[in-house]
Amino acid sequence: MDTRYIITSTAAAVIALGMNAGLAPAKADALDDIMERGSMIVAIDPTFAPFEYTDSEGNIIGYDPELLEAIAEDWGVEIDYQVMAFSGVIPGLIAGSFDFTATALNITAERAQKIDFTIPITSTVNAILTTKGNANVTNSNINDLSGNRCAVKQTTQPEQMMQSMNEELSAAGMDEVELLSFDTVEQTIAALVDGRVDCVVDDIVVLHKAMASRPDIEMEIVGEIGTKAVIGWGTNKDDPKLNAALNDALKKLKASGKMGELQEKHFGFRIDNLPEENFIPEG
Amino acid sequence: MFNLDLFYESVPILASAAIVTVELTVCSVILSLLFGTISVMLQLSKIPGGYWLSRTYVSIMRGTPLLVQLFVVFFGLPLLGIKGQAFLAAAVAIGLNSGAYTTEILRAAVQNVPEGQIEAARAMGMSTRQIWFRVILPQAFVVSLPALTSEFTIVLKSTPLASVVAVTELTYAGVVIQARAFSAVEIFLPIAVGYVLIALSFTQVSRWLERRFRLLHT
Repeated sequence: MDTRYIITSTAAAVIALGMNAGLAPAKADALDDIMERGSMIVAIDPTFAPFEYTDSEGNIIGYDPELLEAIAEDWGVEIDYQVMAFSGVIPGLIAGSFDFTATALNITAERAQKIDFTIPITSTVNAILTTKGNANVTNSNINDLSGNRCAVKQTTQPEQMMQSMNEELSAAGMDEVELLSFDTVEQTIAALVDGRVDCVVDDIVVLHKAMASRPDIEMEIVGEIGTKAVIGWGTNKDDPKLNAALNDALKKLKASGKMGELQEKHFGFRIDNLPEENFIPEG
Repeated sequence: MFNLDLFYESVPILASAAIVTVELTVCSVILSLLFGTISVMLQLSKIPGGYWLSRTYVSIMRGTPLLVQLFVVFFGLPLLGIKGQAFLAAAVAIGLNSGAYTTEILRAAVQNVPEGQIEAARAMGMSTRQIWFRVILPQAFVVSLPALTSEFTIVLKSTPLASVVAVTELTYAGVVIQARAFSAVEIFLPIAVGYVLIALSFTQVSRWLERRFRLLHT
């Protein structure tokens, strides 16, 4: 008899605890947590070369990890990666499941309402990739893309950009670009190769890398689309100290020339004049 | 076309991810059995409110997608001050989800235990707790083995969802390699074989248990 009452009341207590978000302990700034723990818990989705990906041993490499390693060394802490699918990164950051994310995030006004961004670590522009000689897609003008099929990675900035361009197209009485959303870059490339779509919209750096890794397929970038965007990392809005500390560390890497070196190594070119303030685009 | 080098270099990474898949499945299965047993006992014994607590649990878990439950548990844990416990969150979420189905499987079996046996046990002076643990549950588990095995292979195949809450199990490990190598067959073929082998070993354990207990009970 007793055992059963214990079980029931424990179950009830667990459920009550789970539902009562108000019980949450007062949270210190994640920077204090990192220093106390001696390690930073960093979310990363290593499926986004050259920003973050893995080598043949499974180690996480790329532009973002190398910047992060320099910072961790400077702070004297370890990096504890939380490797996760991209769709979990921003929700997890908001919920505080980890300290911050070093996955390359396009800095957008919409995201800036929910999370804080570090200063930009690179800038980018989207582009249109198609197979060589595709008659349907010959340039990146949105009016000419109207009515074609395009592959995008789901929940990413290129997808959102194409969706808002679609709204403009239908407002102007033209056919929308039919968007097919995929989980990863190589699924979008596979869709292009299979002829399921006419083009792929993604970051120009990502597209260059994808082209280089599939030399068996003749592809070409027909042009840039949309406005230039800046890329940074994300921190929780409750952690202003961490955000400031990361910005200081990134500025230091920029001033020492280390950031430029890493850009040259991973992208093949240096990106100058990255803004340090007023970099959140207007909604 | 089949890139043997990629295949060879992927196998060790996939093998260690397969261990995560097995661990996650086993932990989820244990939790599922625990939650299912507690829930079926609450439902069928005369504890006040137990019936409704159990029915509500089953309805919520069966009526919401596992992905949503994973998000709720994983993003709910930091509210309790727990950070970075991806594996725990995934095992609890999958265990809670599967526990609802285990409840229903066990309920059917428990209700099939002849009333006469329970009356006989009571006549022998067994307490309610003794009747549950010595008469009802042992028989219910043996009868439910085939249905439970089938439920637990479904648990195995729902583990890839855990990648959104930062558990690098077999499938996501494949996605990560694929993102670097841009080819699929060399990676997803061994992954498929891996799942079949894991599922087969589960059914083998179940067969062994069935043979063992059928012998004891006949």
